[in-house]
Amino acid sequence: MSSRVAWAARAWLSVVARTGSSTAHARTARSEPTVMRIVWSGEARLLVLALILLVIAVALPPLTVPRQTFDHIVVFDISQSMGVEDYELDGAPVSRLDFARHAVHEALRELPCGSRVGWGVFTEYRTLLLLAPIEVCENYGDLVASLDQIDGRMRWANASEVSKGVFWALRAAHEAGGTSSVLFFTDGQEAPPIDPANPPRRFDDVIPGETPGTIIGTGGDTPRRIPKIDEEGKRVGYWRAWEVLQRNGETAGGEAKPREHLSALREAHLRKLAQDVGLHYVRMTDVASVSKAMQDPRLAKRQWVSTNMQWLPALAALLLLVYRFSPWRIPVRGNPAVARLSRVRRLSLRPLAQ
Amino acid sequence: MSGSFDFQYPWMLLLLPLALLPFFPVRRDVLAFAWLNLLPEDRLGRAMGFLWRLIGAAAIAAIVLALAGPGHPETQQLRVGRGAEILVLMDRSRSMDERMMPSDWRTLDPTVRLYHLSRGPQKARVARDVLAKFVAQRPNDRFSLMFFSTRPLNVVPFTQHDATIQAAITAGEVGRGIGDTDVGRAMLAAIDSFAPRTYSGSRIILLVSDGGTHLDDRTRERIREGLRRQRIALYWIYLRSYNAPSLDSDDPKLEAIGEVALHRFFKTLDTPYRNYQADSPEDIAQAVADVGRQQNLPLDYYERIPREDYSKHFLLAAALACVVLLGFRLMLLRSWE
Repeated sequence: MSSRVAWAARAWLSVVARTGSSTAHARTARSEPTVMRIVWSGEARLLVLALILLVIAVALPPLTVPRQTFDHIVVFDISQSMGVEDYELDGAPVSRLDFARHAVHEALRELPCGSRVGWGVFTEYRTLLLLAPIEVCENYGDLVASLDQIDGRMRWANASEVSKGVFWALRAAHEAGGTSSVLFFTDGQEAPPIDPANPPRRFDDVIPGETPGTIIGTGGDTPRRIPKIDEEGKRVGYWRAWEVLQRNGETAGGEAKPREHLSALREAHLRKLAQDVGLHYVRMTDVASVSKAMQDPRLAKRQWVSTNMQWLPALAALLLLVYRFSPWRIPVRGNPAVARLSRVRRLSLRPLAQ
Repeated sequence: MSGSFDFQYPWMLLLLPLALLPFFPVRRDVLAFAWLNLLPEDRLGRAMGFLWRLIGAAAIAAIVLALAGPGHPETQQLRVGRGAEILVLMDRSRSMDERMMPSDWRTLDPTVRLYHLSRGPQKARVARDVLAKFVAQRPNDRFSLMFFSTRPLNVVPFTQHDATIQAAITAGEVGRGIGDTDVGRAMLAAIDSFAPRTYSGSRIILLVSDGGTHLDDRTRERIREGLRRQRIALYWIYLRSYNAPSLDSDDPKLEAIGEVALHRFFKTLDTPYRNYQADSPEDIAQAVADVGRQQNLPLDYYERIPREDYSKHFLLAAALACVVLLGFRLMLLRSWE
């Protein structure tokens, strides 16, 4: 390397000498410095090092380095209770599903390249995988276009057995390769309501902790009426108390008030469910909470990604050059005259023309 | 599109003022001299001194620019290709969980066929394999994918990216099916998704289903009319169930069987209709070839041209500047000794 530099310097020098525009200072033969000595003398050393670093930066092939990436299957509850508008976006009320989609859309941008994301939907008692996970940076446009299609019109049936939906989601993640984590957006509204004496049992093939993931609770604390949406996706009023299955003893005539036609986030239920299948639980409060859930270090995967590292030697070269040209630098060692020259005008870089 | 230029890490440009450093007066690179006025006037020296600073500044600036990641941004270029627009309509109903006859069923004694059923592949898996191959063999076509059971589920709108379509096809086999087969509603939704698009080439709906529905007259009329108005050809890759009759049978009694009725209706369409058997590899190859033989009008599509990175060029320029600076050093008087 340095021999090539020396060669280049010598060639350049000879050109200069031949044109006669400037010559190296004539000295006695005894002290004539060799090109090598000049190149490696105090001042020039920094330049040589910078040059070497720059050549390394240019020649450096992309290296594979470990990076944290994510691999999620994002499942949206598309049952009717997700139509309750208890979120707000730009001042207007939006439904739980719309806000969840918006938040995922925003969070998608922040995922590191190399991460993979796929979509699924839940209604009735089933989670249906729509799109197996694909790389986010390469397929960002398609992922967003596909996300925009997810809405209540996909609902193939009207029940909402959330527990089974979560089991099915874990099953789907396992079937789709078993490398993905599951993010499940739901409000926890079970319809029909769970019979406390006979709660849905975890499927035998769903092993707690085998598939990591998070249940993301959506909805507010105040129970609200659920908009009734017909098959064509049009709103036709609200669900009434007598139109939905109520809990035992909570019928309109009973002593306890019926409440299954109202929907709030059932956090306690979701926490318990999450614990049962080894998932985490977070609540969707804003876009940032979803972004955080999607980049949860507990769900991160180490992946070897090809990365361009040329910035590293380039930055080092930059620092050297900055140091070399910095006016506030301490004077050169070995040239004590410089230190004494406080009032002498600068004579920098003057080739001696004789 | 040409001439555009951007930086990946524009905040790095904040370091650009560092390039001014060489122009600050330094008390380095100096020699002690008794009396300045003794020195001869040296224009060349002055010029060289200025040049030295300039090149030093250029070297620093070039590295800063390189670190900021300069490049030609990713662009989309309108190209004209010859491919079809294909909407894949994939059956996800529960009947797709059933098994097909094993591939050698034709050689089996009809009375024992039932006992060989368990050897057969699941319909959903056959559908996936067939589609994956189909998409892989038609790289220039634009695909869209829709699942359907009781309702249509629009999964991927039209895209040029095979990876996305393949991911949706993979998903199509995960988990058991849902609901019933409502081909009529699915067909209408599929036709509708062509409606907002400008006609730019041959359009095909590729129905992958085991059929099995009777359509009412009104739905039939809407399908017939929609296909004609949107100029869509219909290809049906038929997944034959156990004991299902041949679709082409002339027996009028078979009208009672959903898939036969559907096939007979499709045959009366004014628009092109073709039928293929999923279990026969020749048929699938034929389907691929048929799409290729379609009168493929030029199809406008956007091709993504990936970002081009120029940082290497800038680093190279900085390296050259360093070489020149070193050359300068060689001509300098370093000290008086």
